[in-house]
Amino acid sequence: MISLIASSFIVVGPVKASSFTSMSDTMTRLKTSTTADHTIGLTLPATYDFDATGSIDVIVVDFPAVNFVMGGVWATTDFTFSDGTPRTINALNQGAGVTTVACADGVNNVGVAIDTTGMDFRILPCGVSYTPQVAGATITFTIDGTTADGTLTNLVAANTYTVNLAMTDEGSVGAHTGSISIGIVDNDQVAVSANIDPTITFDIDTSTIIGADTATPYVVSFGTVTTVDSRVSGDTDSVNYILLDLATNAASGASVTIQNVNGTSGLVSASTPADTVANSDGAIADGTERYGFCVNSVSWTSGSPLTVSADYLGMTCNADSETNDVEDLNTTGKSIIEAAGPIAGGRAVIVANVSVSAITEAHDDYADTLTFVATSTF
Amino acid sequence: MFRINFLMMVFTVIFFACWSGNAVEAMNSANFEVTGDTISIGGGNSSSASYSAEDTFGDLASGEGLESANYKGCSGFQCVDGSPYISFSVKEGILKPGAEGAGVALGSLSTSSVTTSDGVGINSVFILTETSAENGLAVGVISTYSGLKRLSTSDTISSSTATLSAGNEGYGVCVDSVSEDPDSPDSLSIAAPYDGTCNKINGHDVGLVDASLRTVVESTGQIKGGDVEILVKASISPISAAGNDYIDTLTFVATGTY
Repeated sequence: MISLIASSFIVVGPVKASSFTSMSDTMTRLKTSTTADHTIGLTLPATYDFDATGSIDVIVVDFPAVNFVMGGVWATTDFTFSDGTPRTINALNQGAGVTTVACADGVNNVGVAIDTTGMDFRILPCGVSYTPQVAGATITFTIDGTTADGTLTNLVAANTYTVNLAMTDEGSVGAHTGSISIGIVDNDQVAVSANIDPTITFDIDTSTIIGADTATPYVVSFGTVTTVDSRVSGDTDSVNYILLDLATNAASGASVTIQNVNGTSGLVSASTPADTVANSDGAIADGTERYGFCVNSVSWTSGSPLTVSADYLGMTCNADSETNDVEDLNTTGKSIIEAAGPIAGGRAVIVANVSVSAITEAHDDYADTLTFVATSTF
Repeated sequence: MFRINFLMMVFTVIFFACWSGNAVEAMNSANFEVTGDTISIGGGNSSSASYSAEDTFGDLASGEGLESANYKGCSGFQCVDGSPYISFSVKEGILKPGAEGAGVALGSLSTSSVTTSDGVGINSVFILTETSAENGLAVGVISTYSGLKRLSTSDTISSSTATLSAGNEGYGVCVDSVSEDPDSPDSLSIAAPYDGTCNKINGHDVGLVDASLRTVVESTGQIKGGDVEILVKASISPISAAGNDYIDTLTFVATGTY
């Protein structure tokens, strides 16, 4: 009787369990049936650390086994682990029911055991040399579930799912626990679209003022040309420049070509078409018959640079200069300026030049017509 | 007879004393631990330095007032079950609630104005979210191209945190509105830099979107009925390359901290 009474007073004390805090799983994709990376975060209970002292601690990240899908073969590079100190994933072990991993003892070495059927990831220090962080440390464990090697694919059905966390502490399984909810959705992305319409702006001006903006007709009058007074664009001879404005949003830029009606015949007398002031490559000079054009300068406000095309590049070309180089003309067009991409505020200054020889026929009706064509490549 | 009756009484007393010692699983949080509880008819008051509770046995739980600075009680099945919870949806449209997969078509961009989700012809992004996460929620965004990029070339209208203006190239998002149910335990706040002057007419402060997950809205506690409208904006310069195939993909992620 006394023994029965005595045994009835034996009371089993309550089981103490501690919870993780600040638990989260930041994923890169929430869409169903899509691979995603995971960044698992948790904070250990205040008086507990993650160590290998006495008994090796184990942190378990448990995904819903019937829903998530593992694929490929995991590599150590698929994971990172930090408990305040970035640790080295020394080794991993994977397979159905795998819960252990052998790895080299080291102050920062951890191993990862992957149960490919249970959808569990277990992280544990490799040996007694592991230097623990302070108690209550924040743990960060990342899983690269998207790139080659191992993959972790979201569930096929949109819903809320629970990822369970646990820690074996000093041999006590599930000594600390917690859980995270993740929301898998049918669609986590927004497709944004836009378009930009093509534009090109091209304008011609003729003036002795380089910055002028003039209306049609566009005219260059050389006036009287003598063997001792060649004529050139600029203030000295009051001969107009030809000013070209170009702007475009064409991804591959634009070019402007020059052509004339007379080709290398150059300036042709209207009354006597056989008489010409010929056009050819070379420099103008007093006493030399030559007619043509050169590019004095190019400028732009933004975008791709406005450049001088190859045929006109490197020529001596100055305002009021009677020794400029000129390029031969043709009736089909050759590029004179260009831009490789979108350009705004492009401006080219073209100098007109003419010189005559002692045998250049006298007429007051020499003329030519130039055509400039701007073309963008979108 | 007296001896038998005495023994029966003793055993009865002993039975009740032992039965009360370990009837329920210990409950604890970071700040308190209830090492033992009494299941009895009637209930009573329990307290420690940082918590107090009045519990009633056999009564339907009201769910009211079970909270102090360091303790929160929760009545009902889900609370006993302790299941964490989060919900999240992303839709696009002119008006709420929008539709999944509708996208945001900004249309033809112009140098004369900023193009924006406008509630008329260009969709907004609508997000609904709830969570039981006691440490709050964060909704973030990732951009696939860190800008609007042409599908056929490398031309890109890059994203940056800026005040968009006509004739200047830019792209980003901002939060037009946030709200939650009146009885939501916590409220959503707009995270910088998505909290600038943002509206469908002339408020064009946008935040950067790129390959990093950037928090757009967040809370520090549980959210019920979270409702967010996000505007997408873009502007171009005269040298923004022409093309009809500018695209980006915005991925939204909701994360609860439990």
